[in-house]
Amino acid sequence: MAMPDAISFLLNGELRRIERPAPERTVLDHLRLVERRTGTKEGCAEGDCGACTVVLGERSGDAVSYRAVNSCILFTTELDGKLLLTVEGLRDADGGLHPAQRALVEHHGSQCGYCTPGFVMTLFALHHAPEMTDEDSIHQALSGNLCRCTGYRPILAAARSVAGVGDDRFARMARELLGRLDGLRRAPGMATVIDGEYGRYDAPESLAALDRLLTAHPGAHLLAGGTDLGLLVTKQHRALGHVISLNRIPELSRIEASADALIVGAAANYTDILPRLENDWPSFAALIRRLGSWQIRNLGTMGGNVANASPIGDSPPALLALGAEAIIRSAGGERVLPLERFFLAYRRTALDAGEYLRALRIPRPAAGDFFRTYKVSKRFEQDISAVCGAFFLRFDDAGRVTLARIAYGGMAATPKRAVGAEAALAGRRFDAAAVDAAIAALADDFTPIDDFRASATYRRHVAGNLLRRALMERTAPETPTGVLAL
Amino acid sequence: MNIRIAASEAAAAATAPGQPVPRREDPILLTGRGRYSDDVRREGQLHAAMVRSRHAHGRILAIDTSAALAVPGVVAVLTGADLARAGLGGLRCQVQIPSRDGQGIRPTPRMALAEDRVRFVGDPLACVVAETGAAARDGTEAVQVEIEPLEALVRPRAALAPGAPRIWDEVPDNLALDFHFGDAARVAEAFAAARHVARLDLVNNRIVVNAMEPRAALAEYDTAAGRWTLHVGCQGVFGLRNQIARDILRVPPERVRILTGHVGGSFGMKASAYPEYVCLLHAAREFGRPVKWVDERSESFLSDQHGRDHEVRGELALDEEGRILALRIDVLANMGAYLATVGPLAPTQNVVKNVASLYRVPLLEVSSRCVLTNTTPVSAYRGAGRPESNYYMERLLDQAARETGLDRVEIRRRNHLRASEMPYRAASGQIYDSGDFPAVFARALDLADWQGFAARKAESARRGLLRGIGIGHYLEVTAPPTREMGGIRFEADGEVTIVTGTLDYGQGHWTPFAQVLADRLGLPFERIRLLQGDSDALIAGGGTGGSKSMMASGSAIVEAAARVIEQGREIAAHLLEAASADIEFAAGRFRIMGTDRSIGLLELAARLREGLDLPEGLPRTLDVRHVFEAAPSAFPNGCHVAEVEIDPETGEVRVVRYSAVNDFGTLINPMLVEGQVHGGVAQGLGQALMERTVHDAEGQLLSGSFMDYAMPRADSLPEIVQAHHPVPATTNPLGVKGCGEAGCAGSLPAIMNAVADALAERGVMHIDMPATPLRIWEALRAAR
Ligand SMILES: Cc1cc2nc3c(=O)[nH]c(=O)nc-3n(C[C@H](O)[C@H](O)[C@H](O)COP(=O)(O)OP(=O)(O)OC[C@H]3O[C@@H](n4cnc5c(N)ncnc54)[C@H](O)[C@@H]3O)c2cc1C
Ligand code: FES
Ligand code: FES
Repeated sequence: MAMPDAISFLLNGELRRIERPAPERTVLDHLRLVERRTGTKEGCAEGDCGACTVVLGERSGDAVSYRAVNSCILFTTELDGKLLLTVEGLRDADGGLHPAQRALVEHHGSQCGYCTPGFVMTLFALHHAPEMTDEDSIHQALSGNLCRCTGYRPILAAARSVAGVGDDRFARMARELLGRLDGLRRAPGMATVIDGEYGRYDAPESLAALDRLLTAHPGAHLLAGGTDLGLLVTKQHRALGHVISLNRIPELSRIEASADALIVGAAANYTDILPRLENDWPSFAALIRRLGSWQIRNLGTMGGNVANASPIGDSPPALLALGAEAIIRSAGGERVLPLERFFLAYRRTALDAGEYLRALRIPRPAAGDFFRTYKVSKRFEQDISAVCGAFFLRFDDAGRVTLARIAYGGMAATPKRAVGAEAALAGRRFDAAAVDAAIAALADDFTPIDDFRASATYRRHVAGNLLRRALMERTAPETPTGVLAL
Repeated sequence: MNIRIAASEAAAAATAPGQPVPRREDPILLTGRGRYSDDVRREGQLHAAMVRSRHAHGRILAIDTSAALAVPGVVAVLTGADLARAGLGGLRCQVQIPSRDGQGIRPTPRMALAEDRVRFVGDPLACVVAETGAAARDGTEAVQVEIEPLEALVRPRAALAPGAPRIWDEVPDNLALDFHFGDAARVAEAFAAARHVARLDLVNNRIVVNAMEPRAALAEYDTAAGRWTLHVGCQGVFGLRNQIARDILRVPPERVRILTGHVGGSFGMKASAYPEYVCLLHAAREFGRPVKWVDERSESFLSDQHGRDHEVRGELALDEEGRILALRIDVLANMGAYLATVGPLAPTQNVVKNVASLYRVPLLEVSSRCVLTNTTPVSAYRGAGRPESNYYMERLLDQAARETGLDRVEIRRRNHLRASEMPYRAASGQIYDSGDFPAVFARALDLADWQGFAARKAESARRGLLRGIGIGHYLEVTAPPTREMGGIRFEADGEVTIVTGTLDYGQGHWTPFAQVLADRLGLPFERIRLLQGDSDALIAGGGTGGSKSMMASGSAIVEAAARVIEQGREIAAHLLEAASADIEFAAGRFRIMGTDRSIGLLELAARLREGLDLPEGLPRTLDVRHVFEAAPSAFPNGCHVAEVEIDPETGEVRVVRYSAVNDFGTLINPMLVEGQVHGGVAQGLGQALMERTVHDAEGQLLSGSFMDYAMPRADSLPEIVQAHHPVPATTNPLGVKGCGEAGCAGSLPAIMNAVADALAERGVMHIDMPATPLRIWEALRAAR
């Protein structure tokens, strides 16, 4: 049977089919150059500014979920089966403005108008996010859109007026949209394979199919959210050659909770993971809520964050401190590796050829366990960290530390446990003296780098301060935000 | 009948000057129908991409284009030699400023593509022209450039040091302009006699402008007509056309047309002609096809002119009562590698005009050295010397207050100029026409609840946070409105077009201009269009910059409207068979006084279009092409008050309260004015707390992406409470004062004075911009 080598999606409600899309063609380029819909703007092509924001709609239970994403780093192949909404597609049939657009007019939320289409789309997604009506959520929703003209306050006012309202024509035609989205579904077994002049793209639908593909093509790039991979294309202009998408394999997006662990599929995105972290590790959830921006969290995955193995990734320190394990899979079967053995060297992991990360297994906390993770960066929102620290402590009845796991990002070539500091805490009460001893031990654990983001001195000092902060919160608990600006 | 009149009167009232009328362009921009430079495309267009220097300073030994020419799709690779052969001229600094020695500015004759030397990282070396954007980019990677590196000079002090290499052979000591203003001897006497001298060294940090729309352009050449068209975002098509025709193409201006659609922000940066445009114009003629270029953000960090970058010593001489005797400012300004279009203006004349602000300063001395370095050229950025000057003065006053024990409020009150002193001739030579500074000040303190600060500070302290409050009192001298066109065209479709040469890049000129014209001519507001981006339509045009657009175009529209009425009156008199002296014009109609015989303006326009048999000597049209002659500057002023909270553990700082009272003279559209203040405050906050431009010793830009260069995001801004205290300007018919740059002028000092106030209790004596958490944390640690 011939494999389909085209993808289909709905562009503002109209059916689109792209034959043999180039695997690295971004949605932004497709819209502007092929569709000639120039409403969607490019401000950076790096996921930072949100001018390119579009909304993806897909079935979620009995409703259509709408998510704001950065079209500049999203590949067109990932549109398959989805509804793509752009700023041109929101108006009513009679030309009337969408409530998100109207709110921006009324509050004078647009000046030069260049960031505006992106804000319109973010506000549209916010309009359809019933759980995001509080002030903090609204700030999170706007975290991925830059504006140089307005000073934001008018946009914020507009955002407040539309958040969670969800009563537009899209809500009224939800059933119809669901029907049309269902109509785009592929018959089982019709996995997408595109082998064209620009390279090859596969979207396998099962783990077994992925195993086979990776055995045959161990050099292919795996694509989860693409928020790291996309930059290779847009920023470094790299040709990827062969891309295998992880986004059509249901097992990989699954998040399962057992009695003793949370198992996060490697291709589950942050937005879906977040509510599952809230209960067990509020501090971890608070950190993830500030990872990247709303758009980035809608695409990016924890699996990608770990596999990317950047020394300043935000989730690895927390995962290391929580004692998470990497579930690694290949055609030969599965193996489980404690995460500290996963990161080998700068951007090098323990994955062998043909292997991939299937899931992360995060042990659930026992009663009395203490966990905190913090990130220090230039700015509260949407910024990479200079230093990220995570602290897990278990105590005996007498309040002595029986288990300490401390991990940092930004302090070494890989995210790394601070074994010396851990040892300094073991068997002691978690108090100022113990923390001082642990901080002293940090000096041997790490030799951080000096760069323009932060000096080595500052990094070392802040690493210690974060541990102090953990102590402070242990003794005087309050709700931490987890992100500090540098 | 009556109801209809009532309805149209109500409509007119809703759009009258003074009303917060929503913007005409919003429905276009909000639905993605804006037309920015990158949205222009032409059949058969070629694409250009630039090869840029990776060295901050070096001698070009060879540029080998052969491999690039072999890249499929590449049509040509242009180098400086090609442009020189074509006889193209260079990019000249467009201002003239006297120097201490009377010689003026030493020019830096910049060619669009470097010929023998590269002078900053990002300096264009070659331009690849290809069938597609991707091919052009591939081509740039294949161009082999051989450069012998020379010592790079990043900071002005290093560039001035004895023995430093010359960046330009023509400019000894790398000193492009040594500027001096004032009577040094008398100022020195005043300082010698002073009871107290406050002295501060301040950094006015370099800003990457980062308009959200990257620069882009498309050039076309009409071989038959011998004419170029350049589609490009700028701040005024008339001036840019003249510069390009005169300096670069060396042809009469009629042979060049500049077309500008929507502009996605500029703040001074897009006003200039840039090297890329020269390459496109050349290539369009050479290859007979349209040529397009779009910048990428990583390149725009290097290639867009930067802003600010001055190191300043300020000194204030005071008598025993805290009254100012003299002010002395010494500026070391980093101009970058080339003198940009208006580069030397900000640190020199604009400091002179603005630094004394709204205080009585009997004696003023300003010395400025404009120094060349191996960095991106520096030009105007929102305010161009105005906000910074206010910043210096306000920081000095706080410093003086702290040192003398005088209250910060009191020292300002003692030095205020009073309303009764207007018009007032300042030491700068500027004549302030109007303003009531003590009243503005009092209202600002009230609005900010200055009295309640102590309680708020105590509350912050309970949460472990340091709290500070700061005043940013300012007066800005706007750019004087230059010759500006006031064109009014009655169109066939019954609409009326305003033609003028200012050009908005986000300000929303259409709406307030239409409000003024609708009011003057009694026209329906929604029938009025604005044409601002076509140089062919203009007979004059000063462009936008220096907060002068409403003054320049507004005045031009007012005068042009009066001419429309004069012309209309004569024609109406003929039609109504009355003497023109008996015709009155009101609410859009010409009427024989005391009768009900009348004709509406639009009706008259329609009749003229249909063809009227008019006697000799009567105007044939209502259309007007008027030119408003220059007017003096205006003096917008105000007082902003900021409150910050600082976490001493991490140095994290947040602006938690912000209020602003401004005098912008008459307000045409308060909503847009407040929007300008918001935006200006945000940019000021960015400069004060976040935006840090970092070069390494070799001149590489380290903060070269949005990830590494922190711009304010939505959560960085506090609620901004605004009030107005308008005192109409007497220098223009509308009484407006200009509001575009004031937000920066108030926010830089207000925020930094608040930060300094918060840190003072911990013994921190000094803090500079940007007051990043790292810098605050280090200052706190050092003070311990
Ligand atoms: C604007 C912006 C802001 C960002 N902010 C942050 C931030 O604050 N903190 C932070 O930590 N990161 C940040 N990132 C980086 C990025 O978003 C995260 O690392 C994200 O988690 C990556 O996930 P992804 O699914 O998008 O990865 P992808 O780009 O899809 O993949 C990343 C890498 O991992 C490989 N890979 C993916 N899945 C697997 C698998 N299952 N098995 C083996 N290999 C795999 C890919 O081949 C690729 O090499 C930011 C990125 C952008 C563009
Ligand atoms: S263009 Fe800036 S985020 Fe996509
Ligand atoms: S309106 Fe200009 S960038 Fe937002």
